[in-house]
Amino acid sequence: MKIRGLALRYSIFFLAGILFVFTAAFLYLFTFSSRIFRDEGEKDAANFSALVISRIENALNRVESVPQTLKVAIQDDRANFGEAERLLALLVEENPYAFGSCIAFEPYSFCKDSLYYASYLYESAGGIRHKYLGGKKYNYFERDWYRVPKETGKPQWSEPYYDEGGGDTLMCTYSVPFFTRDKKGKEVFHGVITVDISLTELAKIVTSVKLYKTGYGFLLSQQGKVIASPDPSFIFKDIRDTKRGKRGGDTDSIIKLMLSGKTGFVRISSFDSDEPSWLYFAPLSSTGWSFGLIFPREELFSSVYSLINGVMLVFVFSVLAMILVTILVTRKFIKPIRQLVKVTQRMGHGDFSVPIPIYRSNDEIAQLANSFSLMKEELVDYIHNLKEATVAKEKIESELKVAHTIQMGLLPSRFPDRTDLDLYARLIPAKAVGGDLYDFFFLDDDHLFFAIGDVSGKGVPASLFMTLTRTLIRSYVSLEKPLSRSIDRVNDELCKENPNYIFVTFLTGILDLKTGIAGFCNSGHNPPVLLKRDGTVEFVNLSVNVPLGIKENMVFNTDYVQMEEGDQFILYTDGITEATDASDALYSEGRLIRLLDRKSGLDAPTLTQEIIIDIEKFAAGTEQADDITLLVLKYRPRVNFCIESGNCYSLKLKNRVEEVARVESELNVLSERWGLDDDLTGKLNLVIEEVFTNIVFYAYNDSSEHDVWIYFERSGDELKVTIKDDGKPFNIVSSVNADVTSDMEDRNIGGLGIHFVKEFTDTLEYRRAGQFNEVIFTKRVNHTR
Amino acid sequence: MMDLTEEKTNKCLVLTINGRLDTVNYGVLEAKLADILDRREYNILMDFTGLEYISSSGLRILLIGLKKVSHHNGRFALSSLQPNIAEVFRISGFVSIFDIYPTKEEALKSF
Repeated sequence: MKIRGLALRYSIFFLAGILFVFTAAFLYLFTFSSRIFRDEGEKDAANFSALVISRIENALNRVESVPQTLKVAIQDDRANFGEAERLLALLVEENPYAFGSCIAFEPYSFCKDSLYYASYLYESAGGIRHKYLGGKKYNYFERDWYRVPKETGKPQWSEPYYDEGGGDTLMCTYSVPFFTRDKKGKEVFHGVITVDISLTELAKIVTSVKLYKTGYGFLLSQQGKVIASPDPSFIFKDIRDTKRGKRGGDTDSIIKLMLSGKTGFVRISSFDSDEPSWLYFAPLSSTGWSFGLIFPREELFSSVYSLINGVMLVFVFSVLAMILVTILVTRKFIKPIRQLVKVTQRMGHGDFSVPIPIYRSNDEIAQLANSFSLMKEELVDYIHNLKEATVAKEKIESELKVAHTIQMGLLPSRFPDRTDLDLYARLIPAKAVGGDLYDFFFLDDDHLFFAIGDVSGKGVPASLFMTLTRTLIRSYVSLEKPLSRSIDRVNDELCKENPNYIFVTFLTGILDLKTGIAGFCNSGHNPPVLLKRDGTVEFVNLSVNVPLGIKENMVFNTDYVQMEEGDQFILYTDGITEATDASDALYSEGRLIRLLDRKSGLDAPTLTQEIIIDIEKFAAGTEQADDITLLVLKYRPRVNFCIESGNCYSLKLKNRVEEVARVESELNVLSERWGLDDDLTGKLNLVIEEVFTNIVFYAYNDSSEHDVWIYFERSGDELKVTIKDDGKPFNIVSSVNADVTSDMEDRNIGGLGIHFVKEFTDTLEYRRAGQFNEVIFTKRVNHTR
Repeated sequence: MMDLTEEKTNKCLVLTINGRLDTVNYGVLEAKLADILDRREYNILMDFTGLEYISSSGLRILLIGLKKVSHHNGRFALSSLQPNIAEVFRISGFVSIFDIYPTKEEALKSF
């Protein structure tokens, strides 16, 4: 769904932007607050450490003060050694941290008799106890607490150690050398005053430290041994060994820093659990020890985390809220668009009735809706105009189509299938109906009417005029009268009622297929081309008559041309000779003549095709301006053809009775040749004799000699006989029958012969062909062989 | 071509015709019949055994002969018509006008 998509898309887009901004802010916030917390953490740690360190230092100072004080006492007045010891006891008792104290003298220094003299006072459960240190088992001179201050001449804190000889406890010792002056007044080392500090007490200070949740403090000796730590198992261990047996890494370098007396706030993984932690360390200047304060990072940042969590929560909620708001808001904005979409869809289906809602606001949506409304109005108008224009155009086109259909409908559908005639024609219409026509039909079996024409004007009126012309020609042309007379009649008819002044050029002709004589009447049309059997080409010289439909009562002439076997007429319209090529040159008569030269061997369809191909080649893609029409007529006299094939026989007689004998003798020849039986031959004889004698006696008004032709044609089992004379018109078929039923008395003998003719023939036909009577009959042939 | 031979019997005159009877030579028969009638022979039998062809001109002459003979109460009979001749007579309706016999003997008996 598009609309949802839009809202969602906006939301996502929006959200992405917000997310980006939030994330950036968030990261910044996080980093910044982390930094702050870290700094605060460091400060806290520092403060804390400082506090602890000062406490420890305090304690240490207090402990250090013991031997310091004693040193003064002893150095000045040896005699008051007992007092010194009392003082020592007091100090130890009073000082919570001091565990014990010892004054150890140089060999034979206190008493000439004793090598060792170390008076040791320490706290125990029962109070202060006294011990004398020194002996074979405990050579205190070798001990660090004695040796080191002796060598250095300076007070010294020791490493933590376990003193079994002394206090039987883990402790640290502060040793202070004391001196005496010799006789020369030089300072001489005299002994060491020590004070022991119980690490457990010290540990209490350290373990009292609690930072955040699980942060703790610890104290390291100069060598990294744990002096104090909340975890008692750490004590006395090297801090670096506490890492569950692991050594090395950052921890070592950090510890190194610590032990070198530096202060720092670093990240470290905790000693017991590898938890990421912070470590604050600072040195104890007095002892060279280091104090470390370690706490899990998480605890430092716990506030930060909760802060971040809170922010995140707020963030998520606000994002969700924003999505919701965005969807709702965009939906509201999209609603008009949705409506517009609906309207558009309906418009797409052609329904312009859906109204576009009016928006009162001035924002872009409203503007869109308004321009939409405008557009819709304009569309409605446009479509309306377009429809009208289309209807008008279709009308014109359909009129042209109608005209074209009329034109094509006028053309004869089939070409004659005869042996004596080879007729072919083609009409290639131009885009706009040009109005050409060709026509042909048989007036009788041996007379062919053919014509070609071109109407002036275009469109349906011209087509209808052409139709009229053709109809008139077909109705008026007959063998009864010369062609020119028929055309004259047609012309007069066309001139009536010709408001559009349309005229038509027409070339008409009648070919007698028996004689090969063609009579032409040319009404303003291009004369035909005669392609003779020997290949020579020429235009037929015809008298020029006016085109049809111009003026009534014009004179028309018929011209006769004798066709020989194999001659061809080529009739054409000016669509051919006036066809143009790309450079507007005309195809012209000359080119036609040249093309036809020596092409006599081709049959009519092939010749037609060749002409058309040549025209198309010439025009080569330029649009055809006028109809191209061609009619080709090739003459092959049937008789000759027939005789050649042995299926015809012809006979010419004079109009004398005696010639009857020739009928008999010729028939005998023919029946011999064609295997006709006697009965048939007899009947043929009878029929022919009757007709012939009828002709001889009744056909002529004069006494001159006339020819009578008899043609015999055999096809299959049918025999056709044509008897032709040029006498008076006499229709044997319609003449009065002889009365063959009445008595002898009443019998009229005259029509008996004609009766025989009718009875002894299968079919009988009469026709008047020009000046000739033709009696044609057929008989079925039964062969004897 | 045609030839005619006469034969006189006690009953009638038998005229035998051989060949064709057409427009060209009907005059010969015409003349012969005229001659016979001149001799007052009014019972005529024409033997058509050898008649191969007859056209309307021939029929016309026969009809004239019949009419003339009837005038004198004679008879004009025909015999031994070949099938094609018989057909001509049939078509022309002359079968009902003439007495036609299949053989000369039968024809003679009728006289």
